[in-house]
Amino acid sequence: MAHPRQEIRHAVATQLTGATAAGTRVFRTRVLPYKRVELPALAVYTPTETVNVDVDTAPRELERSPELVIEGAVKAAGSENVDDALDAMALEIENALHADPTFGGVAADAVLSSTELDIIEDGDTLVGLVKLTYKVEYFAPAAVPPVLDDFKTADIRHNLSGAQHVDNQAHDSITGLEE
Amino acid sequence: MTFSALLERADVAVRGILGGTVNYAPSVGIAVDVTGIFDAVYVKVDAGEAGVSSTGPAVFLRLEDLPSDPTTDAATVTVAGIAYSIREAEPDGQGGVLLLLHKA
Repeated sequence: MAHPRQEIRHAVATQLTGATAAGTRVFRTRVLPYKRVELPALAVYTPTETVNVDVDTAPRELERSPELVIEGAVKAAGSENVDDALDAMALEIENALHADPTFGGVAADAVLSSTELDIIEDGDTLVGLVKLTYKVEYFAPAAVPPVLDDFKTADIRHNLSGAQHVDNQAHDSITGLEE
Repeated sequence: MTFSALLERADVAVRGILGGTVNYAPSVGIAVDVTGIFDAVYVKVDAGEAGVSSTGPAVFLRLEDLPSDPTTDAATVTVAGIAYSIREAEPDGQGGVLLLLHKA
């Protein structure tokens, strides 16, 4: 069973694929540098998560809030302003995620919390970066419950006060519980 | 011989061996071919978590060869058929200037 954060990253990447100028160039936790021909591109990260432990449920369930970061990278094309390209990409990302803020049901909700734009001039062309951060919420058990065998039979002995001889104890044997 | 004069002689000597033809076009006036030392070393652009693989094209020229001052003029240069705009001009204070380039 995959961790819910993994499911969220996969679902978000799927939701963004084909929905922006990046087309199918949507990566999960991209760490290797992009080649220029790979731009524009998107990358999805979940770098941090906070947990609200003040949820009063039994069995204990945690309200978890990962930070979902989507980075879009573009390069200057002709006379196009990089900031315009970044804003256009941001709008495409927002529309794609707003269409289903549960990402197919793997999250309870997702809300855009911040946007950062940056233009870097170090290379042979201008490179623009837009970083959208979403606050995501999902609920999960505090611990993964163990997988138990089906309850099929019961073997019950009653030993009152712990003083009865085994021959005098009531004994019930129940079978067929799986039916 | 002053240090400046010595450096100029060194620049001329090095450009004569390592230099190539660079077309320098001032924003106003006629473009000229000058000798300069061009390179485009690998640069990792620090953009986000991943970054972008790129190059940092740059050319070293002598100011006395140029029809305009690249620190104030929006000139362009062409090297090996590729046109560049000047994103930054870094004079060395000894008559030379390093032009950091962007593809036009």
